[in-house]
Amino acid sequence: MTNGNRPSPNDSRFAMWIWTTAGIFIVALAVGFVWLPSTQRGAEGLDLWRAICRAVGLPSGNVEVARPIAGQPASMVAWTTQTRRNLAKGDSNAGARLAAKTCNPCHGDNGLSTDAAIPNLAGQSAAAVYKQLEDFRSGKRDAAVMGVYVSPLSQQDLLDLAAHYASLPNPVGDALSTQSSSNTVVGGGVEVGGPRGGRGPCGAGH
Amino acid sequence: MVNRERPVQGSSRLVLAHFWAAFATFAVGIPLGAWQMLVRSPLHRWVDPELYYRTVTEHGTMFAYVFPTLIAMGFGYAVCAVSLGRPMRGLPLAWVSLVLVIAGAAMALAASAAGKATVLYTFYPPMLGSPFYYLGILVAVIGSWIWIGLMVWHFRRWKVDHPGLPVPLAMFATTAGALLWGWTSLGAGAEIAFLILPNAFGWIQTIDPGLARMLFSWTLHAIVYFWLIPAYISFYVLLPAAAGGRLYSDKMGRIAFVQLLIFAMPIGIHHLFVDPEVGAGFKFLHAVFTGMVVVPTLLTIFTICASLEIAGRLRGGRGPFGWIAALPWDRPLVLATAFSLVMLGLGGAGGIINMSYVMNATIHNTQWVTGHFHLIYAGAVVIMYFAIAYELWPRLTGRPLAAPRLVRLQLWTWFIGMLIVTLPWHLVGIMGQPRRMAYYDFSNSALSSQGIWVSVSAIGGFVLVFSAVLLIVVLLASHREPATAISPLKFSLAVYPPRGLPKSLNSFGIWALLVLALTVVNYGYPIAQFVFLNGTAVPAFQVSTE
Repeated sequence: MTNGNRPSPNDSRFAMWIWTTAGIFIVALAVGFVWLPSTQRGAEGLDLWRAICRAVGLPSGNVEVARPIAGQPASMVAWTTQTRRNLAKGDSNAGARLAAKTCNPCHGDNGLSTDAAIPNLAGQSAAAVYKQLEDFRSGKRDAAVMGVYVSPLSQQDLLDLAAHYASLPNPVGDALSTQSSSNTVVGGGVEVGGPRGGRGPCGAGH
Repeated sequence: MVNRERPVQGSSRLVLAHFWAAFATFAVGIPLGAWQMLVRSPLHRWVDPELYYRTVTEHGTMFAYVFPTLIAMGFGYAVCAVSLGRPMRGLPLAWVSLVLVIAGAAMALAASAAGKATVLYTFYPPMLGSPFYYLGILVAVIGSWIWIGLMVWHFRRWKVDHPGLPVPLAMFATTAGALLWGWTSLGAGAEIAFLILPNAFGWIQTIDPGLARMLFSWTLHAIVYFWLIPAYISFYVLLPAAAGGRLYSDKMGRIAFVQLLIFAMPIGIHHLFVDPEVGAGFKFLHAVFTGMVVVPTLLTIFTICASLEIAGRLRGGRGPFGWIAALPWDRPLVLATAFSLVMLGLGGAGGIINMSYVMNATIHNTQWVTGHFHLIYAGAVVIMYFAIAYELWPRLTGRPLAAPRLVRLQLWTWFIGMLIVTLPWHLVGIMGQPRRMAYYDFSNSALSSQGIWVSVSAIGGFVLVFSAVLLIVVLLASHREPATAISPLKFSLAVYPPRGLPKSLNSFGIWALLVLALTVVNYGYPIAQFVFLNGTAVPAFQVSTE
C-alpha cells in the first residue's frame, strides 16, 4: 500500500520550519528589544543597554525623570488662603495688555495656539496658570523656554495673566461641559463624572 | 433491523451524551446572554449589578470551559472511532472524564449562582470568590485531560499498528487539538492551583494580579484555537464530502493544524498590551507571533474554497463563479460553512486590529473586543458545531434529521442574529463604550448616540435565543423520527490521498518540543519577572455576598 514511499525519519521540513520560526523570533527580538526601544520617542540619551533593559521591563532602564531635590518642596506655590486672595486680585485687563506683548506670539491672540506643541491657555483655571508661571519663575519647572519671558515679571503680573487667560472663552471646553460649572475644564467630571469611561462624579467622594 | 451502533463504532452513546451535555449548557447560557444585553440597553431599566455580573460569570464559565470542551471531546471520540476504523478502547475512562467535566461544571455554576463567586470567568484576581467555583473549573479541566490522554493514546497505538501509514487527517487534527488544550490549560490551571486556591482557602492573604494575568494570558488566546479546531476539522474532513467533492489538499490541512499548535500559545501577551508591568519588547514579540496565526487561517480558507470549487465543478458549475451556485446549499454543512467563512473574515480582520500594538490602544477593553470574540467564537466556530451535530445526529441515532427546513432556518437566524449582535458592538466600541459594565447612563448626552446601537444589538440577542430554541427542537425531534438505514459517517477523500507522509506531517514529537521552546523564550522571563520581583502582591478581595 505504501509501496516504498515510506516516511523518512530525517525529514528536512523539521529543520526548515524550526529555522524559519527561529528566524522570525530573532528578527522580532531585534526589532522589539533593540531597534524600537532605541529609536522611539523618549529614548534620547539612552545607551543601547539601557534601551534593551527598558524593553525587557527592567525598572533601571527607565529614563531619569526630574525628582524634587531632597529637603526642598516641588513648588513654591502653596494653596493658602493668602494665595487664593492674591488670585482674586488678578486684573484681567492688565493681563491682556501684558499678554499682547509677551505671550500672544506663541499662545495665540485668544489664548488658542496654532501649534500643537504649544498649549492652549484660553479658559484654563487661574490657579493652574498662576502655579505654572510661578514654577517657571522659581525654576521649579524646567524653564529653558518660558524662563526668558517669565523671569522679568512681577508676582502681580503673573496674577494678571492668570486672570486674563481664565476669562477667555475656551470653545473646546465649553462644548464638552454641558452641565453648568464654574470650571469649564473639569466641571463635568466633578458633577456628573465621566459616563463614557464609567467613572463616577468626583464630587461624590471629595 | 437497523444497527444503530455500527456507524460510530460503538461510541454512539458516548458521543451523544457529550453533545447533549453541551447543548444543555448552551440552552441555559444563551438566554442569560440575551438577558444581559437587554438589561444594559435603553430598552430596560437598570438591574442590580451583582445580578448582572453573576450571570456574566455563568455565561462565560459555560461557554469558555464547558460547552466547547464537551463538543471537542464528543467530536473527538467520533473522529477517533470513525477515522481509525475500529472501536475505541478505554470507554469507561471516557465516561469518567465526562462525569468529571459535568460535576466540575455543576459545582462551579452552583457556587456562582449562589452569588459566592461573582468574579467573571477570567477570575480577575485580586477578586476572590468561593473555592468551590475554582475547584469546579479545575475538576472539569482535569476531567478533559483524560480525553487528551485517550486521544494521544489512540493516535500512538494506531501508528504502532500501522507503521509507515499516514494517520488519517481527522485524527491527526484531533490530536493536535488535544495537545494544544493540554498545554494551554496549564496556564489558568497554575493560576488557580498556585495563586487563587491558596487564597480562597485562607492559607495566604496576598495575591499577585500581574502574575495571575500573565498566567491567564497563557490560556486565554490558545483556548480560542482549541474551540476553533473542531470547526476546522469539519471544514477539512466533513465539508468536501458533504458538498459532493474532494478535499483539495490533505497536506495543507496537516500544515495548518501543526501551525495552529505551534503559534496559538506563545502569543497571549497581546491580551496584556496595556499592562504597565510587562516590557514593551515582549508585547512586540507576542504581536509578531500573533500575526503568524494568520498563515494557517489563510491556508485553511484557501484550501476550503478550493475544495468547494472542486465540488461545484463536479456538480456542473461553469465559469469563474458558476461553481458557487452549483453547490448544494440545502445541506447544513455547506450553508454553515459559508456563514462561518463570512464571520471568520470579518472577525479575523478585527482581530488583526486587536493584535496591533498601537491600534489596540483605541479599542482595548471596549465593547469592540466583546464583539470580536463573539463574532469569531459564537459565530464562525459555534455555527460549525451546529453543522457537526446535524451531520453526526443521524449516525448517532440511526434516524434521519427532522425538519430540514427548520435546520436551514436555524443556521440563517444564528448567522443574522450574530451579525446584529456583534456589528453594533464593534461600532459602540469605537465610540468608546467600555466592556464589563452593568449599566450605562444613556440619558447622558455623551452616551445617547450609542443607545440606538445597543438596542439593536439587544434585539439580535433574542434572534439568537430563537435560533437556539430551533436547534434544541430539531435535535430533540430527530430522536422521534422513524429509524431507517443511515449511510455511515465517511470523511472526505483528498484529491491526492496521502500514501507515505514525511514524519513532520505524521507525528507531533518535534512540534511539541518547538512549542515548549517557544513557551520558554516567550513566557519565561515575563513570568519569572513577577515571581522574583518583590512588592507586586496585594491583599485579595473577597467578593462573595454573605
